[in-house]
Amino acid sequence: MSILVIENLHVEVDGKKILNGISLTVNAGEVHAIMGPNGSGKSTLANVLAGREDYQITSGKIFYQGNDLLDLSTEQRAQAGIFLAFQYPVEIPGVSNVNFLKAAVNAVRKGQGKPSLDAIDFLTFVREQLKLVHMDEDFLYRAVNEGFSGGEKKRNEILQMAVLEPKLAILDETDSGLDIDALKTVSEGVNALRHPERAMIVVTHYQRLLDHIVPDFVHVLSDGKIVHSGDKKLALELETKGYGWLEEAN
Amino acid sequence: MNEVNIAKDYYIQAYEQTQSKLPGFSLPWLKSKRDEAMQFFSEKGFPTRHDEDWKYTNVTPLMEQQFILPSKQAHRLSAERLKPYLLSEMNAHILVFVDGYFSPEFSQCNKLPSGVTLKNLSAELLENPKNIQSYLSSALNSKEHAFNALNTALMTEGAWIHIDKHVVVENPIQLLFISTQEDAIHHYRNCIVVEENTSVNLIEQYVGLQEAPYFNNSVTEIIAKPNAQIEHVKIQQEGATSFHVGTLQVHQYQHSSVNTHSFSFGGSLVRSDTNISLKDEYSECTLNGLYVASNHQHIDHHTRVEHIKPHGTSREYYKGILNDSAKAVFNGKVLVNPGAEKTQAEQSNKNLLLSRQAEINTKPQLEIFADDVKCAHGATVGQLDEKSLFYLRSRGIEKEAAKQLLVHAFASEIINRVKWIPLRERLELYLAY
Repeated sequence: MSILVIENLHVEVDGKKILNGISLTVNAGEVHAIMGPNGSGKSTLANVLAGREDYQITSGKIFYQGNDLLDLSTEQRAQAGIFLAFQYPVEIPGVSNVNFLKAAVNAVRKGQGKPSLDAIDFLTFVREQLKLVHMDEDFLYRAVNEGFSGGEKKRNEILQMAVLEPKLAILDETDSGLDIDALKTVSEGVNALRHPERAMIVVTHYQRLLDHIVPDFVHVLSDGKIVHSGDKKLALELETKGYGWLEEAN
Repeated sequence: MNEVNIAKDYYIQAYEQTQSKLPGFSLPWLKSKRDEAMQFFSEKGFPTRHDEDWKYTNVTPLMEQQFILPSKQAHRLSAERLKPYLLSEMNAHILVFVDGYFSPEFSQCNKLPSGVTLKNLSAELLENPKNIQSYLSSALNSKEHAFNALNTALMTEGAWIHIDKHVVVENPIQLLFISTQEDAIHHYRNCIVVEENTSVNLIEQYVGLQEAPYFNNSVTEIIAKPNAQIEHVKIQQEGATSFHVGTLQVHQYQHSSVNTHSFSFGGSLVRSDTNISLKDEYSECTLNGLYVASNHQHIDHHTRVEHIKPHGTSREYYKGILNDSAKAVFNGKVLVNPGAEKTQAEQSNKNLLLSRQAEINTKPQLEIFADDVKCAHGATVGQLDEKSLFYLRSRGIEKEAAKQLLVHAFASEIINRVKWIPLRERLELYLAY
């Protein structure tokens, strides 16, 4: 069964049309890259999937594991296994990373009818996941993203993804603001989380991320529509010819 | 006659009728203080909204009811009901007062270090009035406002604390004021004298175990002698329909350091004043505050720091969290007198409004009459950050839980300024919006 089916999705923000009829099917185990120039609607698509409330869906449907996704609140989507790695992770002073992660893990477990992890079990579990993104334990005791460097913020996103074990992970411009070493660390973390039962949507402007996280499919978004789909070779072609090539061809 | 005059006459008569039963009646110096205060009260009467300091706080609800002055010890409080409020895990020295009376059976102060006097006021007035004579009312100007005058005239009980020179009191002293009686009014008066080179930690806590209205009108005076170090935490958890007016008055001398923390959670109409005079050079103070109100609560904090001599430092951090139709007032005044050069003062007040009906009137004020000073102040009013809320919810955290998390995060900046972790944990629990 497909994890995600998007049918002819139209979305507006403040009365402005951003997505103009997107259709996309994502199956378990697949990694889809969504590429496109600035303003093409990539981040809007990512945020709509996560349930951001200020976006109006004017027509179209989204099915997640066969059910209507639009019936679910943001938190219900997360509990059902959808995860969005933010382009700009939010700083939350006064909340420690460890409390945040624990609250998230136990909220998702509760939503899935699983018992809560106690403090010790949780710590054992999260310590293991820290290694995946090369983070020290003191990372846990800092306030969520507060004063984090760009690389630390993105690694923190991947850490959250690791502990929440989603079915569908959406990575929104995960490469933005990263130097090459941080990009490698983050990509390694993502690759380690690739799984036959997990699907990923990787939203990016640049091809360079796809050197590290190699996609099964590449879709190009322009003016809120998918104008071209192909395999990983499409990303390389875009890199040499630029987005103008496709827009002209269209 | 209107309510205001009826209420005024009621307290004037109450004083005439009960003064012979008030502690220290036979002491001429105390009688003259009480008479003088009552005289001021009868001339001035209760404040109205025409008084600048009471502009946003209407005290008429206080006058619509004739509160009864306690005449005999009558409470029926079980140890079990009291227990959750005793700071036993902090090995505190504890004085408990119930419905206006000192409760020796609940107090725990048999492990005091030598050089520390911790007694109830009426006992000291009976046994050693000379010890207290020069201090009682020395830090308070009874003409400040009518409630303070009423307290001086009608004070019945409270704590008398004296710390000898060079004594460090490790464990905190908890003063616990419990109200169980409806329709009662209590005038607690605490007098705390901290001699040179000492250190002491005080927790002043008001707890209401009564749903019906009652009224606590309290005053705490602290004299901080040179090099004294004091932490003072006030926790106000009065009953939901109660009234609370409290004043903390501090006089600080050279190189003394006073940190005050005011946590206001309970009460229906609350006015809390903190007034600090930095009377000598190199004295410093910090005023932290957190007020949390919901439903129709009204919580008013007035603070005044007066820099009198050079090289003083004051810092003030107050935060408010308001839900439903709650209203709050913050008025913080920093006064830098002529001659108080090299003063450093900062002041901030931040408010979180959780509903459209909630209201805050905030007024940070600097009045500077000296040169070469460094002062800054500011106030903010905001809502919960939508981006943060979405971020938390996108991780599976339910909307209400996410809000709670953000509210606690907002409050934690103030709570974490309290130095004892067990007390911080208690404050976290008391923080329900």
